[in-house]
Amino acid sequence: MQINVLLFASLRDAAGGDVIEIEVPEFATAADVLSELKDRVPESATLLSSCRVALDCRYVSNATSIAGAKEIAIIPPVSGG
Amino acid sequence: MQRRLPGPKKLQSSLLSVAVEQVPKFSCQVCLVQKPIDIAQLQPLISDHDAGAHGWFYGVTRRRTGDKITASLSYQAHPVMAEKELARLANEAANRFELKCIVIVHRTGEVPVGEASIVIGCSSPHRRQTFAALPWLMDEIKREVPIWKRETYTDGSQEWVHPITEVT
Repeated sequence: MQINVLLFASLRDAAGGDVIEIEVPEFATAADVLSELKDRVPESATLLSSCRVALDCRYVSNATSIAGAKEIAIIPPVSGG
Repeated sequence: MQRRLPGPKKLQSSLLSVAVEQVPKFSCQVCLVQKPIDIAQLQPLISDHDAGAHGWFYGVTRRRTGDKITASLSYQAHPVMAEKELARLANEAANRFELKCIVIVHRTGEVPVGEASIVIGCSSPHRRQTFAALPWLMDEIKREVPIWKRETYTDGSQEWVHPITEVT
């Protein structure tokens, strides 16, 4: 199935946009999303290994299913403050 | 049947007691802004007659990092999630350190050298709670809140900051 994923910071720059459409298996997990993104944005593969996934504004573990999520965001290591 | 219904006074009294029970023990306010943070405007937000300690932390754009000179910082956020995470951390801090009031404002967009990117204010009955809450909050914000900074150096180069290692 096709899903839209929100991107931020250097990941956004590398992908050339704030949203990327990717293809994932029907029962995909957060890990599947990160894995597909490594193929689509290979220059960010190392950074993606340190990214977290947020479903509907909540961090989830890589084993969490993305089923039912209205928003999927990839959160690179943060640097606010 | 009508006699068994509570009269207006009794109904009003039960609503009032619910309202009293729901009054929070502390006040938490968080937000993101895209303009300079007006610190004077925030000061009344942590005022509480039972708080004998008020503490503030200002995070300000620093000019020099090692041998590099910063011209400005630019902050990008996932705004909805960032405000949710700030609110979650503010509530956790209020409970953990028995704070009376807490306010957190984070600026996004360009933040020139010398201007504040984040302001945290909190108040508590005694000083130790406020002294302990501020560093705890900053460490948690730097680990959990989806906000990123991009350095622009005076030589024109730019880089996003993604700390992979433990936050210091």
